Amino acid sequence: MTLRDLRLRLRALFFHRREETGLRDEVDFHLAMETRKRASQGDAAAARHAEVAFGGTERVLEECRDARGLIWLDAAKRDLRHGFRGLLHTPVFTLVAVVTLALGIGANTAIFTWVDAELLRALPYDHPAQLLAIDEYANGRIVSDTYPDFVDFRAQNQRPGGTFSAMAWFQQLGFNLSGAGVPEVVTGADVSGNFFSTLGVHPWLGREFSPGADAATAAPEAVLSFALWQRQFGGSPAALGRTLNLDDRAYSVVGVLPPEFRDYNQTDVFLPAGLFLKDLANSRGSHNDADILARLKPGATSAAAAAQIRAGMAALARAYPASNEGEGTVVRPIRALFVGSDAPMLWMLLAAVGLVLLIACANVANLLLIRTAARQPELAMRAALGASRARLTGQLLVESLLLAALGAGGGIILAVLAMAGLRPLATGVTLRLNAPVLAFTLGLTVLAALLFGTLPALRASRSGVGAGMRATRTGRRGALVVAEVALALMLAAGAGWMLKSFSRLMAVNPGFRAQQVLTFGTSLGGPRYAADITRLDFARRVLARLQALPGVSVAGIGTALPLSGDHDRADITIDGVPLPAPGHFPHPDFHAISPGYLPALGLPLMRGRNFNAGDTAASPQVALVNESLAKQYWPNQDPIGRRFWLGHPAPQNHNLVTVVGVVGNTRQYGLNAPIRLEVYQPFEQSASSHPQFVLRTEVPPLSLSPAAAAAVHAVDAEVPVVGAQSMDAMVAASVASPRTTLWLLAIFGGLALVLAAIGIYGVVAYAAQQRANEIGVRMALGAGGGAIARLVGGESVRWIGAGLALGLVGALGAGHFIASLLFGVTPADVEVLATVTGILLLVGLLASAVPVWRAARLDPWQALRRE
Amino acid sequence: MPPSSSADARLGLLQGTLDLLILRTLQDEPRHGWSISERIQQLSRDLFQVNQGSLYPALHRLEHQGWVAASWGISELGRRARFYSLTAAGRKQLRVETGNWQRFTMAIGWVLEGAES
Repeated sequence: MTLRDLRLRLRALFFHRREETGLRDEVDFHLAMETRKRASQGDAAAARHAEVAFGGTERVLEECRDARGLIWLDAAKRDLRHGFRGLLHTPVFTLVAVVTLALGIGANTAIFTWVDAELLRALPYDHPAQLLAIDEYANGRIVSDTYPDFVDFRAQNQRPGGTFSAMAWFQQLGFNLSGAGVPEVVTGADVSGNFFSTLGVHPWLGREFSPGADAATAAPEAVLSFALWQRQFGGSPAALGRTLNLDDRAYSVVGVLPPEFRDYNQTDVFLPAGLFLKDLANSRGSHNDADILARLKPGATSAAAAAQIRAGMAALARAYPASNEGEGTVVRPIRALFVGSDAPMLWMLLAAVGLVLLIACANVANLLLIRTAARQPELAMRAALGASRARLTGQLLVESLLLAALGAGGGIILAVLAMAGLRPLATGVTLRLNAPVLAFTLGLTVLAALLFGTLPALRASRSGVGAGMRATRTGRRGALVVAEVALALMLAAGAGWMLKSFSRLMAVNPGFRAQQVLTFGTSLGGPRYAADITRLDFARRVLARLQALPGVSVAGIGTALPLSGDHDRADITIDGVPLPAPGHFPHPDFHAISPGYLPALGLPLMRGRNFNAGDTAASPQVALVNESLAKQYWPNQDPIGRRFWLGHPAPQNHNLVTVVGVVGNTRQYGLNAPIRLEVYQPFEQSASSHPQFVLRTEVPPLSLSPAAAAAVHAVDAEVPVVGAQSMDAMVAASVASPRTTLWLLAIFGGLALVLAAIGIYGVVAYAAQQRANEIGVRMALGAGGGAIARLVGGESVRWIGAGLALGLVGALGAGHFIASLLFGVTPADVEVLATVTGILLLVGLLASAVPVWRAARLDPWQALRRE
Repeated sequence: MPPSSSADARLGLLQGTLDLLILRTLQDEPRHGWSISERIQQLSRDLFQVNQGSLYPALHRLEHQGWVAASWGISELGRRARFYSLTAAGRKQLRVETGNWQRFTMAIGWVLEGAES
């Protein structure tokens, strides 16, 4: 086929309709001319004679089409039509095959949408591969950067050989947005003036900050996310120049970011870092949710960048040993900030749905083999009539593609439905069918068609004229059974591990009693709440109202509730032990609580006393510690009455705190997270600007949330109430990811079992039918039902056994990759592997039992007479 | 091809010669299908009558082979018509085919005369 030929044929394919009308116009014109000529010669019936002279219009059109190379298209059309008719002929086969494929393709499409959105889709920045995130490292974990370190890193980069073309600062902040409508807590960030240019992001509306954004004299300007702009200003361009009140400080809106912009914290409002310089500049020792984002110079490597930052940090450690000694740095691609703990789970799920699709393909291949066997007479006749082998193979592959396409259609519908279920789990990204996802599905569809269609198509066309399917050995089909059983075992093992892992997780004692507890947060920002006394006053008045609510048994105040993800950490210095090396001070979590906190959350007091009304700002500083801290720093001693300093020892450090009690350990960061050191201080001595309220209730907790919000607003209508939820819901949310994995794997595993059962049944039944003749002879020669059952059943048992063995090997190999997703169970867990092997054996035997039983009861005469 | 029934004096075309005649009529100027058939009839002094039904498949085949190009234009009647013209490849093909035909008729003539050179 020459290029020109191909072009014309493609044109014929795509412009078929236009070609058709063109042909007709051309012929009509000819007839008109001929008629005119004949009429001018005095022909009374000119039009009719013109048509006669022309010959049959339709025949001519047909010949023209042929001349244009449309034969090829028509053949494909014929195959398609033929295929459709064939599929309609065997509706049960078609339905089973299409549903099987739809499940496989749908599951893959849905999971891939998630993988694409979370892991693959390019970040909406200019040349995202050049962007690195620089973080600091202390006490064996990644901590955020400090602003003075950022300034120094940036200065170091100015020296010759600096690897970065730009370095930007990004620090997460929370604000109370007020002044219009319902007060809202927004996620904010203070960023260096070059933040947007470093990322290569341009405002969609308006402009970036005015120059000088890094200086204390920066103009109070705000750049909004598209979402906040929609929410607060209804997407009106008039928002530019309007004023936004954040923590009672006014900012003028100067820009709106593009809708596709996203950062890893879903920030709503960006403010110039210069405005926060007072807090930032003297914070070399305190790490507060900040990252340095830097762009590599073209040609610079991230290894060189990491070396530069490492050397820079070493210099800072020499210059500022008190804060920086013992600290390291971590330089990662910026994507590392986006990808949470979901990545291993997503890859695992994608692998799992891949296995499901493989099983589905094996099943459909098997169905097709049986179907082609039944169609053998038809195929033999077509071969006899001169259809070439390639033509027959082609026709069967067209049918396979048709099946796969129907399956893909169903699969896309299933995927859209499944996405509605996945959406709440995929936070921070939007799941939708887009071009890459559809391309993936298309590729998968073709791949699936080739996978399940090639073997049957080759098999069918090879047998050729007159050859029956007698030659078909069951060997290939046996291989399909082995593969299906092995794949299903791997999936079932995955589901088994997750199930055991999840039950282990749920059996973990969180350290508190989650039932019948309502929690919500508030946020006290701005100058009105700048003084401790104002925050204390607010908290006391709200607490009194909450305590008086009917249905509340006890109300308390706390900060950083368990499982909330919040934390507030600082170094302490234990009195009476040798000073640790810099970077190795105890670094516990801090909580500020009211006396009601412990009973409201159900935290047990192990020793000593709870806080009481006597612990005030005027009284000596006291604290409760958790069991872990007590055990680690005062082993085999009574911790009551022991003392520690807040922070590092210094002549002017008077923050000496006395331990008055020991509280039980809690799972602060998740049921599967290790227990940390915890320190509780009286709220009266450490009035937080983000008090959270905890109510132990006698009624369903959420039913009290309107009354609780009203209690807050009765004290101050401007203070936002955020995240009202029951503690039960927080526990459930904390295990959402393992729960999702468990459910999805359970669904995929169940699907695999059903598909494998159908596959085994089909193969065994077909094999028994093929051997009916042999069975008849054996019975006639005196073989009993038991012998026949052994004959037919023995084969399937061997297949299943081989599949189980292969599956166990595969599961152990694959389990290695998902070990990080498991809690309290290893892939080699005997209980899980034995159980799933047993289940699959049972399913396999049940699926083959019916055909075996039928074979054993075969009437030998019937069987023999069939020939 | 059977002779046309309307005029016994007219000749049917030899198999394979229609393409050559079409290419020849397009040598002077682009024409639409009807005008091609008229032109062949005219140049053959009415001896040839083109089977109009086989003309169009031949035109489409020639287009497919790249020897003629087609475009829509307005005919002398003011109607939309499809005009065919020779391509460079078609011109070359016409020269080759013309040469072939002349050698063919010459050979036939010699055979029929029966005289040896």
